[in-house]
Amino acid sequence: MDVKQREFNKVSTYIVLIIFSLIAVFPIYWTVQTSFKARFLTFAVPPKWIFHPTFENYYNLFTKSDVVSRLINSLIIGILSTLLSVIMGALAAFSFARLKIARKKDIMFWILSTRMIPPITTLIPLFLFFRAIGLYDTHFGVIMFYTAFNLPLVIWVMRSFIVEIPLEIEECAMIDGCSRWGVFWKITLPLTMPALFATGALSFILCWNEFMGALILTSHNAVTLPVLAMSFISAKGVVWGEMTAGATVIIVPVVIFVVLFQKYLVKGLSFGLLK
Amino acid sequence: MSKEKYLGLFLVLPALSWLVFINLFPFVQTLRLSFYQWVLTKPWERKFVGLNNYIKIFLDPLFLDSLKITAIYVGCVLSAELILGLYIAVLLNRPIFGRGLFLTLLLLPMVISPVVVGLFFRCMTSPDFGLLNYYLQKLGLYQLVLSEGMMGRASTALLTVILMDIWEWTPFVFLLFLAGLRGLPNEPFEAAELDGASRWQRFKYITLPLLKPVILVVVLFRTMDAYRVFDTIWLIGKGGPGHATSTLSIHIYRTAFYYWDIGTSTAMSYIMLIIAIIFSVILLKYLYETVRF
Repeated sequence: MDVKQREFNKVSTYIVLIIFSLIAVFPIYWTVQTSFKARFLTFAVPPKWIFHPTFENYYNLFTKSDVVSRLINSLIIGILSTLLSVIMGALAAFSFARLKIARKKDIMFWILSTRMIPPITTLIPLFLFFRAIGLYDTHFGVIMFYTAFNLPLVIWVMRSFIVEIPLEIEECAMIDGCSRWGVFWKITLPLTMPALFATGALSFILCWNEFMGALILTSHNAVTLPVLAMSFISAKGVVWGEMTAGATVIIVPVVIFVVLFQKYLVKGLSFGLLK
Repeated sequence: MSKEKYLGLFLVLPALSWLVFINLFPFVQTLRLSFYQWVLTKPWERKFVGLNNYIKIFLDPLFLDSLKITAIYVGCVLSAELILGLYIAVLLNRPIFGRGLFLTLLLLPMVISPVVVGLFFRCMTSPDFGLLNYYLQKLGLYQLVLSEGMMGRASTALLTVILMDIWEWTPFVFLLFLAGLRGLPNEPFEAAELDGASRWQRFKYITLPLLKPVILVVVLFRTMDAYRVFDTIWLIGKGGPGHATSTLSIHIYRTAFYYWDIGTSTAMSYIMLIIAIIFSVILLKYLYETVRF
């Protein structure tokens, strides 16, 4: 390949990547931008790209809607579910990776298979069941569902990481008198911290963004942000300003997180899923 | 050491029991409920009907339509994302400046809440205020849009929803492909280049076969996720207009929580589950045979 051909390839690569990046970012940019537009500007056709920003939508959002309590709900539910699934998942992953368990392969396959179940299948009876035992529309009910939802992923990814740790390190420690449990605490855990963190973060994002489960299992009390976002589309018509402000609130934590931890996410996800 | 055996079981027990409670138990319940005729608004009419619900749903044109819509959706979305994702991964694998920036930007669609994605596309395609309509008009593609917007007509609605999925999930695909490409050994490529193979030949005869396991994993994950899509489609138009974008999840959800028909909806969701299992088993088997675990 001669130099000219190479140059062309390089330039076209950049151009294509830039175009794709713009397509990827545009919706997010537009949503955030609209949230800063005064009401009369939102509907302007042709759309205005340069304008004076205003916080009036956010003001309305935070004072007139339930956003604050929903935000708190999303946070509580997300954090607690993540903690539960990470703790239980890491323990289980360690077992699967290192210890002898009866019919291990079958159990592991079953755990992975739970990810194949369409959630609607679980949610209809779960809805009836929660209603019967009083867990409907409670934080704990949603947390229970989300934890179960995230466990297979945590177990699967953590197991892949733990398996990669060389056995010699653990054997040395055990020869020196460390128990299995000690190995877990002092060696496995510290070594897999980054993976644990990435998996936990991913679980939190999944909980934060989740919609169908929250929609079915809540009505007033435990409502999360995504469900609230839908309520902006009402019979009165769409309240664009507040809606995009609400949408921005939903996406801001995740975007910040991705920007900061992009490298780890890429590594963690691809490694966990490909092994 | 028996102690070790107990430790293993003990550590796994919390996770396992949690999963059994939330997943297995409802799983069994769904099957049981599907044998009853039960509408929540008329509880006095609840009775055991055996396989009646299953016969009923296979005669129901809406259910069959949902099956068809879901099949089209998964097929289109999967092929488009595989090709596009691979292309982007190949591009990002080249030595370029600002790869980190590109990665961050290109990853964003998949971490944005599906709710926001659905809302955004709803705004975009709105006949009155949507940007898409305005610019399509300017480009002279008014036929595509007319007065109802892209989501207003059955023919364009499914297309819109498919495009939405492609926008949202291609990042996932290219992420996996990128990781796969990075993991490929250099020697085959160098040898081929020495032998005079062209870029396309190298891609076709070396890259693709070596990427087979990754492709399978991508197909597995994307198929499972596209099959059960709900959030985005619900928010862009609740499965409308009419029944045009009502995939299985949407149709089942509506039957269960709008019409409160527990018997029919559980029967449908069980069929949905069985189809999912069949596909997953086939794909997983193929994956296990291709990759040495």
